[in-house]
Amino acid sequence: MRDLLSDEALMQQFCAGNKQAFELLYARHEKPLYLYVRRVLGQSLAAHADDIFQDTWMKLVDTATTWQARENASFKTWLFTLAHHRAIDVMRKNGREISVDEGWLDDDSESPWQQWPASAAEQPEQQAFWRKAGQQLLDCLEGLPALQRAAFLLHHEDGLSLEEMTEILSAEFETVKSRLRYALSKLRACMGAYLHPMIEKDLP
Amino acid sequence: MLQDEHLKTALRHAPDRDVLPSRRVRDNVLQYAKKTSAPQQNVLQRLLHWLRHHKLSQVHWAGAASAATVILVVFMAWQQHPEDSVWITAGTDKQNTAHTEMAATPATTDQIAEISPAASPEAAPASAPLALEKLGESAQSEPSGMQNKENSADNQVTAKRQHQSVIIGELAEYDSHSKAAKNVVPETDQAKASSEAPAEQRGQLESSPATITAAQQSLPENQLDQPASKPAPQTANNDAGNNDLGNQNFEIIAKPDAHTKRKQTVEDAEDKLGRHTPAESAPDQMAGSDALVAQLISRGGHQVANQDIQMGALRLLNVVVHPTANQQNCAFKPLSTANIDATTGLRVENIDICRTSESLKIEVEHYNNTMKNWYLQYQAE
Repeated sequence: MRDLLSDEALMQQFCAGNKQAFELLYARHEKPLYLYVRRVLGQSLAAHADDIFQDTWMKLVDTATTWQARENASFKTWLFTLAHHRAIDVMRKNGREISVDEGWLDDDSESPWQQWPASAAEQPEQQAFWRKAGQQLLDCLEGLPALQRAAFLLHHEDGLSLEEMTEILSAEFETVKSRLRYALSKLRACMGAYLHPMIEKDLP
Repeated sequence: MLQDEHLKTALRHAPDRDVLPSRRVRDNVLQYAKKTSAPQQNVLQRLLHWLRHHKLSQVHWAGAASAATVILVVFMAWQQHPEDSVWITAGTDKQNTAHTEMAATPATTDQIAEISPAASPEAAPASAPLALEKLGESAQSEPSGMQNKENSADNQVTAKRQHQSVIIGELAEYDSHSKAAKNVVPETDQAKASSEAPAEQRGQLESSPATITAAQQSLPENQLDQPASKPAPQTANNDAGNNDLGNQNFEIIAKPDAHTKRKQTVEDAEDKLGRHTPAESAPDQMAGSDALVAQLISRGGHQVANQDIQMGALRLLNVVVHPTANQQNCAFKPLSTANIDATTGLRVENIDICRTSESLKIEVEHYNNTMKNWYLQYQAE
């Protein structure tokens, strides 16, 4: 029954003293949040993932009354906002480049990656292929600026809309959209060479 | 356009897909949430929660501590009742005036319960009987110019106020001692002499039961106990015993606690004076002219005058036969100040009596002569 309750309803119950509501919230968002923190930080700062993850939840508990006062507040947005800002702080302290690389944007519709079909079936060979593609994607993410990487992850992994991303990233809508476009372009370019042989194989 | 299904699929198959935070982190988070999210059911728990999550500065804590201290002090002051002695000391202005002039103008017997002077801090314990006697034997009188000159008397009154509470407690004790002394001290020749007074004198005393009682119960020893509020010069050159008596007075005061020793000392002093008087008395039963007349008759005007000089009560006496003389309901009236003596400047107090008494007039004349002689010698010095 409680699984049907929204995050916001559970958060209301937690603010009223229901500890089990918090446990449900934690179970729901444990893995997505941790993955987001870990991938945003990258391999070099992955060791800070646990600390940032823990600090995020504790911050959420401490500021529960503050969140309660907000109208139309999305719990997920708020949770990822806390985690994002904490991760950015750690990255800055460790000398990682945070600025957005506004480099060349490949918007050529004739690029080969645009012709690739989505994987319809999960055959063993295809699972192995996508697993390699996933690893390649993680490697490619390492090469993206942090804010572009965050925009890509929030949009493709966590399914957040651009509006929600503007709140999390504390940026304008067009800025977020631009960052996402840059991230996609670079990732496609990075992934294209790796996936090309399979595409040629699958294509008739 | 901004949602790439290929990248999304690749991301879903990434090798880090199944990573989770360590169990320690999970436990820490859940434990922290349990501790913090305790239901706030009452004001106290809310206050504690607020204090735990909102650190107060030192200024806040100092303010809270100051407020608590002020509340505590006000509460203690509110709960504290003033001691009885404070109320007695505070009194009215009239009472304070009586205190100030006590050495020269003894208070009335009505003030016995409220006023119990002490000669000095050292003599405070011994002043219980003193207060009782002084108040019992004295009569109401008004301040005079001579009293203002006696600064030592004022200082003595200040000391008396400081020891009032002690004295009040000893008054009750002294009563018990006096009652016990009645059974110990035998009647003296002086007392017998008093009972064998001339018929005229006896008739006068018999007409007033209070006077008879006073005469029979007069307490020379108590009067001798009284310390000199001012070290008055020894003027009774014609009575060497008086000097010894004055010295004995101070000796008695210095040994206030030994009741039996004090009685012996009083008797010794009386021996030097060549007379004995009853040792016990009830001073609080005598008032106004009654006590003074009884003393004059029983001890003689010369002796009483010397005693008053020792006490600093400087005055002259004048016998006035009351218009209601020879009436059945005649009673002595309190002393009243008639005027100031033109020669000496001393106040003249009237002794209102109902019937003419030659012996009383003689003793009063002795009293006035002694007082005038002392005053003249004092002026010469």
